[in-house]
Amino acid sequence: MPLSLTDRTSFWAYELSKRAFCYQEEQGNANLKILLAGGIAGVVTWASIFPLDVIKTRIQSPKMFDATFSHMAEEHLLAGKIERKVSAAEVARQVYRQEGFGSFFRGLGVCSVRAFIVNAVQVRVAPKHGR
Amino acid sequence: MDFCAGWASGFAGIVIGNPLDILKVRMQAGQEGSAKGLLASDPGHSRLTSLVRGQYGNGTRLACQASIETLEIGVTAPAVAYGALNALLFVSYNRVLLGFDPAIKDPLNVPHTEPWKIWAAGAAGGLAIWAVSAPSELIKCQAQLAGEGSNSWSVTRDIYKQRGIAGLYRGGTVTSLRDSIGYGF
Repeated sequence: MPLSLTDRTSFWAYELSKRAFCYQEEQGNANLKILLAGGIAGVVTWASIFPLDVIKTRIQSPKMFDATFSHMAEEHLLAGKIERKVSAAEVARQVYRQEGFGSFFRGLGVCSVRAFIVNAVQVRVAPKHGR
Repeated sequence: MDFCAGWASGFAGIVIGNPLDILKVRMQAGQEGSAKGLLASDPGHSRLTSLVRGQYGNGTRLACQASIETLEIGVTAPAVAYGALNALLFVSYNRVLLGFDPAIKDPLNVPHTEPWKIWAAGAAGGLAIWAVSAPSELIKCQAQLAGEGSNSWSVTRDIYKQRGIAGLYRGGTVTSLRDSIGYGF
């Protein structure tokens, strides 16, 4: 059964989806099942790593002092310290304190929609790849 | 041949998924609270909204081109990295899984293999791609957050000039953690 492994789909979520949808006798609606399995696998994977992804985005953003460290930005600039290296744990703590738990999942809806679309596109372009 | 097909499908996915990826990254960075607000607020984003609503500003072709540029900010880095990334990922995954169970014929069709082996092999794959994934993600993120006028190449050049190779691996640990969990789960 052709199924492509797409952007950020964990191997286990992919295998789980296949076991749920694809390893079955009847072949009816095979294409729909492939799309569903791949899309769901992608969404599940992203949901599990999303908080980490948020922290990563914050660390890697050029304006790291903006949302999470705004109260420190000015004094750092004045002191000539353009940037100090902050640990991931510090970033996580600041985000949680200043913006609450929900901010670790902001953008997940958009990301899930994207995961479904990307999976559908990739299956379309190269249906046999990943076999 | 298979490698090319894989890269083509990966490239298509990256290009088509990029506008939503830009939105996701900006929401994650705290630049906007909701997708609607993001599209409405910043002048740089108004072209995104314009494209969506089908209204073109200064001449259809120019607006079209500018809109595509806006929608595809930060796409070069992951697109270029995709081939190497995929190759590294699958080779590592296959090697580790076959190491656990040499009898496996097709590592991507394993209905009877224990879950923990699949997890471990996936996590190993995620760790293996670090060298390519970390800088690619960093360049992509910065280009997407910086907005109009920036692209993957200008971001790479600037980071390298200011902080060298080490700068390109900023956030590498978190990226590695995310990738190993993300591919293992």
